[in-house]
Amino acid sequence: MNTDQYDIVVVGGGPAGSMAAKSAASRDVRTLLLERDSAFGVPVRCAEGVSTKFIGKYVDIEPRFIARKIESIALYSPDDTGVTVDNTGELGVVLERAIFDRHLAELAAEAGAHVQTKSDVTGLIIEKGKIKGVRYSQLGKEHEVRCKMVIGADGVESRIGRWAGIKSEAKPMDLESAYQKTLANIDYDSRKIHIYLGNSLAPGGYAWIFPKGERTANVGIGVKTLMGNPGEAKRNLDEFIKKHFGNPSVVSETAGGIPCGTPLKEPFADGVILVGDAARHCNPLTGGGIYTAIVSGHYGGDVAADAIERGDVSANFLKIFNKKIYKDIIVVHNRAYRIAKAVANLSDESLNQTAHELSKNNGEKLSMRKIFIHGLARYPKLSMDIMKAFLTS
Amino acid sequence: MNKIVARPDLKEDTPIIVAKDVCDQCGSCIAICSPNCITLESLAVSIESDECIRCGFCLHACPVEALRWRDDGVIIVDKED
Repeated sequence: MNTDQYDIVVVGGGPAGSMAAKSAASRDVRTLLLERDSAFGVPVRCAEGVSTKFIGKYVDIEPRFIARKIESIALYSPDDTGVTVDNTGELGVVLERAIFDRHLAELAAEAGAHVQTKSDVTGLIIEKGKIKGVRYSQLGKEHEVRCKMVIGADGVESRIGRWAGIKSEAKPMDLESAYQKTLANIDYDSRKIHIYLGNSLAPGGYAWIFPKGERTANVGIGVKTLMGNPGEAKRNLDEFIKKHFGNPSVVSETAGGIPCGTPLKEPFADGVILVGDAARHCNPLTGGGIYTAIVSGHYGGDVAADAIERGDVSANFLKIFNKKIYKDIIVVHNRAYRIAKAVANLSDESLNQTAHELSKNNGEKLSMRKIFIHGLARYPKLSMDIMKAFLTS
Repeated sequence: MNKIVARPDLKEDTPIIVAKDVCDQCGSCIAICSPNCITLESLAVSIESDECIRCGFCLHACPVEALRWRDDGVIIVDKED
């Protein structure tokens, strides 16, 4: 058995893990990044949309990561009445996660982290109550690596959190169960993101069409776990696709769980920090988690490096992580959670009426401001909140 | 094709069964499992029977219906040869 020694081991090579490894390694801290799958970025379990408004502070979005630029967003009520917010300039992009995620792993390596694939972490090494490393298997061989800290970026299932004694299981009411197909050769408006609301279509969630190309799109549905029946996401998606596109070609499909609760109160324990989906750092209204994973990973890695430099990896020191992400994640997501609850309580009838009132505004472009001025007689604040959330996550 | 076949040899096993060829290994069931008794193996998730509290949340969390109640302790969904 090989035994290696690092300061920090990052478990999971999605955006949160790679960003954490990058920011830790750039501080001259010996960092190892372990990815379970055979390549970073695949399989893609994501609708791949991200707002470009704030992400540039952390990572440059190069043209090769971009599948499609998004100019506006259309929301549809259950009777398919559409309301489009026209935006000036670029709203966001739909990424090629396979390329983007690999790039982030390369950035981590360039910063000095050692990066490995096919490394499936099977447990923590805990001695006298302290975390001393991780065990992982690679191509059937068991390995041990010693370290002072572990960063859990292992996604929605968050095994690291459980092993470290953090109560990180998703609350049943807050987990969305999602299914997505990437459709090819379809007719649709590929300049917009399309969001469909409705209690029978997507109880507690929504259906989406995220453009990947002029005739290609990620089409999916997320359903609140306990609001739907088992398998509802996939069944409803198949009906939705049939209704809108007939029997199109499918070039990829994926299932996933989206943590749509509030951020974990304490995404840390002695010697461990959780980042990204593992810390429930995912926007509970939109289900968007790329931007927040990047922010969460960036600060998680930075705090971990601070802890190594100071020789104090206690939970008491690591709690500063919550301060670093307070404005960007905790405040925003707690607010989004309240909005999501309010949206989930709207009846199909109210959603339809609201959309009808808005769509009377024929011919005129609907800016956020105009939507507000023309007034959503029913839920002006709520509608603004929904739009804002999608425009910034 | 999936086919339901009787597996009386698995009578003492977990009350929840996994269709390995349906499981997409997305981890939703693991995320929601309160006693933390589901693990991801190379082909599908698997459930440890002694720790399962039979809450059934994992069945709801699964987007593809890969997890199902075992009807009476003798039914399992398995791949037809």
